[in-house]
Amino acid sequence: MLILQKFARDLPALVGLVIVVTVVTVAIVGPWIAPYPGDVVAAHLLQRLKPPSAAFPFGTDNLGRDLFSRVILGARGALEVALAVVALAGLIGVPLGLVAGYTHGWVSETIMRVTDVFLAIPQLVLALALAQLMTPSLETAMVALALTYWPFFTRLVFAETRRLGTSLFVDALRGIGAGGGRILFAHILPNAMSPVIVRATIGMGFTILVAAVLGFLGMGATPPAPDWGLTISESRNYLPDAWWYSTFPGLAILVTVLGFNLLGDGLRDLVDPRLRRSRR
Amino acid sequence: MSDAILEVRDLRLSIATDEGVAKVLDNIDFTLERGHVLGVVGESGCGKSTIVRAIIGVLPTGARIGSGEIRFEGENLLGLGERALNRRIRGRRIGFIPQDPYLALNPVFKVGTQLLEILRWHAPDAADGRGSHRDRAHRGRIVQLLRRVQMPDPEAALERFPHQFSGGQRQRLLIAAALACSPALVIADEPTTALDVTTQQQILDLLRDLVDEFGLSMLFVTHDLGVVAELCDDLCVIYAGQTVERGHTAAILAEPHHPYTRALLACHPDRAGSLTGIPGMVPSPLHAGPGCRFAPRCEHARPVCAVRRPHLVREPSGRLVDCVLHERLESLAS
Repeated sequence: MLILQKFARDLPALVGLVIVVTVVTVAIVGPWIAPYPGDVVAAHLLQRLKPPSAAFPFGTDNLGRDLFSRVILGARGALEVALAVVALAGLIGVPLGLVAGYTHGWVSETIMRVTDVFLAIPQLVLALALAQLMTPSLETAMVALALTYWPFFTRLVFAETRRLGTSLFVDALRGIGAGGGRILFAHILPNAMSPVIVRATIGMGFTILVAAVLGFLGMGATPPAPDWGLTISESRNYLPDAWWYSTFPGLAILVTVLGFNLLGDGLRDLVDPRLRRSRR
Repeated sequence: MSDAILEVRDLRLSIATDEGVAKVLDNIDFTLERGHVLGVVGESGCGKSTIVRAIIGVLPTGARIGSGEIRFEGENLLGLGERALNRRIRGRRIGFIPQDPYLALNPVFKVGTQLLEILRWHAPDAADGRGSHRDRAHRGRIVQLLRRVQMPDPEAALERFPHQFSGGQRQRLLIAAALACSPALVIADEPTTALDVTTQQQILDLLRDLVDEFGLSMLFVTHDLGVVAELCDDLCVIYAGQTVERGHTAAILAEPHHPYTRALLACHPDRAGSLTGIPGMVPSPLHAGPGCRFAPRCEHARPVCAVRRPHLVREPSGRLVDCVLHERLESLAS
């Protein structure tokens, strides 16, 4: 397969793929590979704030919990949030984009102007405001993030649908009796899927980052969840002495986001060679 | 004896653009007899494709039908809603062969999926079966059709994607798609324009055979009079959205009556001594005057031509000509 060969030659994309696969694996098997799986809720006050050692590779936190275990256990939550947010945003954004792109007139205009309004406000600010309106919890953070991410899908799908909607194969389909819904969902959507997948991949990384920010600000996960952002937030009081406390969850966020972005960029290069970045 | 399957009467269509309202079709008028092939001929931009789109109800945005009727088997298609068109007419009773075979298939699906889909919409309970049994019946029909349109190895063709076929083969696929539900009428919008000459000939032969074999009626849109001479029983010449002359192909080609038809025939490389063409350009539909649209380019133009449209004159042979010169002939004769 030519496309796989091309992908295999793209080193950053491969690195991204390896990172993503690793993170996903860790998220799935986390409870079995973490040295102290009970450290989600346990407390061992005698071992609090121990620096990295053979027993605790990433050190321990203020309650004596193994940070290595908590970083591993946090992967699942981070991925769940990212997946749920991107899926929800896609479910809202993609159909809206399809409808707006295929129709003309006030329906299309309304959808796109609302989209513009959402895009005009910085995503983090909007997510913070929404999260603040609802009672702070992981669920509200997810809803807030999804409500701020769907316009990106709408814009993207709108442009693709506009382009495809005037193509001859759509006219031909109408000419042989295909209805609007069938054309949109069975024919235009599959053609528009590749940029959506790219956007979703990059969105995964971005969502993990913003979810961590929300956790850090106390509007996301609640203690004692091993959330990366929340852990960094808790570590603030112990800096700079307990440097390991914030460093390792931070690195986990960094590497995961980097992985998704590299993979997403690599996929975009495959899908649309014209947009190839000047990377090499 | 006249048994019309498709009648287009005084069709007027305008498209709202940024620069104003373009009268794209102005008084289009023709009849397709059952079992015949009617060629609709005109230059680029004269509204040929718009006629086709008006018939199948797939109009560009901003298009509005001002007046007229499109009667298919006695029923005015313009009075039907989108649902009725989809359920009863498009694909089922009227097959459509689009212009460019390179662009007319969905690139992301296998050919078999796309062809079977058509049968699944339009014949959900055919072959008295359900589920897999019905699918097998549909598949059999598609393979049979592909064999009929001379697609090599039809079984394997179903498993391939559109880009794996050549232009001529794709046109065969589209013909098979148009015929899938055994329609009474097939509308072909310049089906051979995008193909090279040898492939074009094969496709024309195939279409002619299919018309005879399935008892089809066909509306064949083209700019090529040579193709018309070969394929069409009747001919309707369009200029700038107006029907200028129609009648039997052989009679018109032998002795064109309208000045435009005459000029068009004279341009054909086989006939013309030199490559001259018709001086001037097709007028913009934005600034259509009240008179004959061909008048500015017509060597026989009279002052009256710029002021009013001629009446469509029916000659004793049944031919219709839309020219002031012929009105005069008629009044002299009577």
